[in-house]
Amino acid sequence: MVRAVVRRSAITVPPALVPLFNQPPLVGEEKREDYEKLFLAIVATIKPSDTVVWLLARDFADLTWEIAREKRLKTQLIKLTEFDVVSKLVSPITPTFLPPDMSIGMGKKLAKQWAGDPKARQSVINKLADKGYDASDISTLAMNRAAPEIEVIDRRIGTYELRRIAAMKAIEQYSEASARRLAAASTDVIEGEFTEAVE
Amino acid sequence: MKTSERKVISNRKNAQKSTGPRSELGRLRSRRNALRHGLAIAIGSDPSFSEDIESLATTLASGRAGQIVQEFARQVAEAHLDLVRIRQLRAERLVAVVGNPDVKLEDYSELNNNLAQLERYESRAFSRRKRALLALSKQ
Repeated sequence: MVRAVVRRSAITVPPALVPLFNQPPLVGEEKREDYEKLFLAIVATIKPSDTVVWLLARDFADLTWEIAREKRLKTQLIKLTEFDVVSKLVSPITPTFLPPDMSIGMGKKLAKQWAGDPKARQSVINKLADKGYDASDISTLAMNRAAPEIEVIDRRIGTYELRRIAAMKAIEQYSEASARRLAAASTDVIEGEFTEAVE
Repeated sequence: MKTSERKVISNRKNAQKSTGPRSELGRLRSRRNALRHGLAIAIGSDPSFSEDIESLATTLASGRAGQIVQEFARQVAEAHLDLVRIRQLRAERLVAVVGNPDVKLEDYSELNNNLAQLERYESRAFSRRKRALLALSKQ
């Protein structure tokens, strides 16, 4: 596999762009270090020779980062929906004289065991099997329930991918060689398959 | 495809007829649009960005002379900084959901609505930058 090797010392951001590149759009526990690794890999591949190409390289990095984030968001949504489905399926039927919150609380407790406690998980799986549900039923129910939101996330991913292609085409306008190198290495760069060689 | 002359004239004529929101409630709502996230205000009219725009435009135009180059460089700078501020805003909105252990399913739907509002601004800024970049590359 071809790997882009990033040498920090070989890359110098034009001084005028340093303040602009100072605040990557990170969220939650995303690490600046990881973002910079991605950006350096892209820059090492493109070798920008012009301010415009530097801006477009940053754009390419931002979009690649946001696509990866949206994919994680989708996974997080599916897991959360599965959790919700399991907690409802394993909720005991509450007698009418008790508040419904009691069964919801019990369902959530069991769903937590299903999601995070490998030992207790099997007993919850057995409970679900008793009610006629297996793992694929849970996935299907979760996907059906989250479908409208998943569709919106997928649309956003599609939009960002198109913009990333547009950024690559714009790079081509300024430097055909840079765009060729980026297209050749983009699988590595996009999937984060690069190594860093700090001198 | 290039818009025909007839279509351009017709669009201009129709635009003259547009008076914006007419009801009191509609006017009140549209008056507050810019206050919601600030994106309805053109970045070039926002004094807090003027220094950054000037600095980036100067860098983009360096080595090339002419007022037209300056103008296109400024357009690229404005659109690019607009994209940067939209992405920052998006990141701020995503904080409510990404990596939040107490996130609820309803939060996703709210987030999607919030992000859809930003999308139209990003789409416009992206097109503006694309056009300006093309124009700049031809100088």
